Amino acid sequence: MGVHKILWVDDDREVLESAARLFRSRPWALVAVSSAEDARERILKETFAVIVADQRLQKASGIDILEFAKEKSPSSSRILLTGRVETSVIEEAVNRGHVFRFIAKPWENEQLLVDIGKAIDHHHLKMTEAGLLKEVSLQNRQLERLTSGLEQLVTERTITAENSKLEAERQLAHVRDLVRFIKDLSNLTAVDELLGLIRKELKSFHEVRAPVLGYVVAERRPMILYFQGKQIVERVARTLWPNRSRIRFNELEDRQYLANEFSRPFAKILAVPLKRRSVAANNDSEPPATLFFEHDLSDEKVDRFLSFVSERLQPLSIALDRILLEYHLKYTSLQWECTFDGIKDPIAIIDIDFGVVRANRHFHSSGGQNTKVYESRCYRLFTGTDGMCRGCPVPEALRLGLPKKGVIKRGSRTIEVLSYPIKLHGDVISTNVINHYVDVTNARELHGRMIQSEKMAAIGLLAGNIAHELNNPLTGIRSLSQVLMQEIPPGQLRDDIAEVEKAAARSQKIIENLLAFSKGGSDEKQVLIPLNEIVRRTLPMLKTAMREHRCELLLSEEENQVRVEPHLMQQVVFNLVNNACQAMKDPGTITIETGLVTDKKGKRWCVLKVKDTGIGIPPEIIDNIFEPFFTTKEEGQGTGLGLSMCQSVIQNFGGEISVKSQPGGTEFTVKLPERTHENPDR
Amino acid sequence: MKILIVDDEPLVRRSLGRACELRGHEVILASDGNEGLAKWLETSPEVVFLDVLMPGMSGPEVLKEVGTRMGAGSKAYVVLMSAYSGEHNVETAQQLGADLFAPKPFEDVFAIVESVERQVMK
Repeated sequence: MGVHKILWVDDDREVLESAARLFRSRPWALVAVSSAEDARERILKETFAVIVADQRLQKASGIDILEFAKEKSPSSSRILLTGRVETSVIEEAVNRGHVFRFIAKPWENEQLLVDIGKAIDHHHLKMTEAGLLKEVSLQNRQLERLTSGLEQLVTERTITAENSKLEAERQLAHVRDLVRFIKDLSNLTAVDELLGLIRKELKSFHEVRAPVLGYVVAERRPMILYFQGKQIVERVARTLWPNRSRIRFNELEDRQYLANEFSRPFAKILAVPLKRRSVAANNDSEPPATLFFEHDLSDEKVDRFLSFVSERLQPLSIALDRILLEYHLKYTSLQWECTFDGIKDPIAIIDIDFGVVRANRHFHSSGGQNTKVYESRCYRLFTGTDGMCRGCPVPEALRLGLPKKGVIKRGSRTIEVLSYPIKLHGDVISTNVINHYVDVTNARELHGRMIQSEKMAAIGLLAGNIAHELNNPLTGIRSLSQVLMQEIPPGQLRDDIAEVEKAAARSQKIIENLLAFSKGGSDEKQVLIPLNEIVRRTLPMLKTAMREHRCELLLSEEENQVRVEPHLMQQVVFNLVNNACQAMKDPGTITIETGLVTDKKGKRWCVLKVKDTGIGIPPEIIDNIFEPFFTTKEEGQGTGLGLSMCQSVIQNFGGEISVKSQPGGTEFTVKLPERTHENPDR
Repeated sequence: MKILIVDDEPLVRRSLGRACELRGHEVILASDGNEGLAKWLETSPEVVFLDVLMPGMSGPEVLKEVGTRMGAGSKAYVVLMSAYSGEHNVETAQQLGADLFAPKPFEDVFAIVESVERQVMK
């Protein structure tokens, strides 16, 4: 630290001198001035550590000088020298001059030195403070500069960041778009939806027209899909589009195809094949599904469009593939369904608990019973019974794992059930069977009839043989009787021989009838014959059956001619009378009655009634008795064909058969149109 | 007349034979085709009643044999008899060389004998 300058303003010379003397011992340089003007001048020129001013100057007050100094040289420590200390002076000095010290006159030297020393220290402090302040403000300025640079930097960086964020967002949006597209694709179930989605997706490309899509579902006809306004139209393609696996741009082949398909020219075409992935759809002879875009894109936009399309190509292909596969599966399963529904026989998959897993239409539709929707047991659905049907082959088929056949009854129908166990994935035990139901009623009837006619033919042959064998001895008996009757004179003996002759004659007649009865069908034609005659011819063959019963024969006296095959008509009479006999466990009465009636239209009918006094037919089965194989007799007692045969024979002759029954008697009525020789066919 | 009756049915032989005898004819009986052929050749009957179906030799066979053995030598009047009425009729009987066909059973044995008498006596 150098010499500290002290300015002392005082108009008293002695004061100035004594101060100078006093300060010699100190490293202080005293500038002593005696006027305010000088003081002010010096203050402006120099920097003083301490400024001492006397309160009472000739032209000014010390406070004025100190006030000036405070403004011009704030770092200087200011001391007011005053003779008397008055409060107002102190107040003024403090307020205006911000004095550091008051020194009273006369001062104590020691005290003065101390005070000046302190003022110098104060000045130093102030100076340091100012330096610091200055430095700080400089630093502040630098800092400010730095800060503003940083801000600039930050702004710059922010802009960059924002730009990259935008870029990222753009890309994100792009990816989102793709994801959304893929998501939309995954929700599609139909090809037309796919086309609609593509069109929506292409909205931003104004130069691209609505797309056209061609596709083929395995081995079916090629389909073409296109927009007609907002509507999507799907139709069978006229021809197949080019079978190419690459993307084509404005190729003649595609233009020609589309022109042909839509009967209008196409200019610029982008053809995008959608590669097929699934194995099922692999068929090289079929072209891949192809998207055609008619467009008017400029060259730079084409690139954008191409990249847009190629980005979506794979998901598109996959989605289309999936849809087509679903189509194929649906079609295939529909095909199966239709196949099964098309089969006239009922078919059903039955599980181990007789539950119907699946069934074709005829399984349900042919079930005449009141079936409830929740009902699933096959026997309830199919036969309307409350338990497994008698003869059901399902349990055995499941147990053995082998196809089994069984015969069940469904109402009056006879059903053959073929059970085929289903083995899935090499299962050892089957839990399901496929049941194939075949109505064999007619076949059985036919079979039965065949047996019957075979039987009849055999009986006929046998009867024929027997008849011939009997004919010889009968001829002898009869002839010999005739001889004897010639030789023996009239009397008892000759009458006896005459009876023998008559019996032989009757026997011959029976044989003749038997031969006619058993002859069977084809060689005999319909002839005009009285119904009474048929009855008469048949009765001898029923003697055995009727022997326990009484027979009342009430034959019409009128001519009752009908047009029939006599042996068949005889069989009808035989069956009806035989049934009547069997219906009566205890001896009863059989009434055979013929007659003639005229109906409302004036048509005449020959009527045959066969009545018994038996137990009657229960009402619940009376509707079934004319059905083939319906029988109430014990196994082996009847074929169940008798009445069915009667009905078909009578209907064949233009007649009808009906039945009335109640406990205590059954009456069968046969009506046949009356025929006369004048009008044999009326 | 000498009448040969060939039939394997005893009652037919007997009744027919008795009927013929009653009408005053000489009757020779044969119980099958072989015997019938032998007696035919041996006795040269004027009338032969011949059954169609017989054990050994059938009626038509006998007829054929007689034809070959005697040529036009046999002048017998032949009545072919059959219980199988569908098998033969008058025409087929004549083709076989018979003169009359009589289906069995006979309605009246005397009527047959009388009709033969009328034919032969003519």
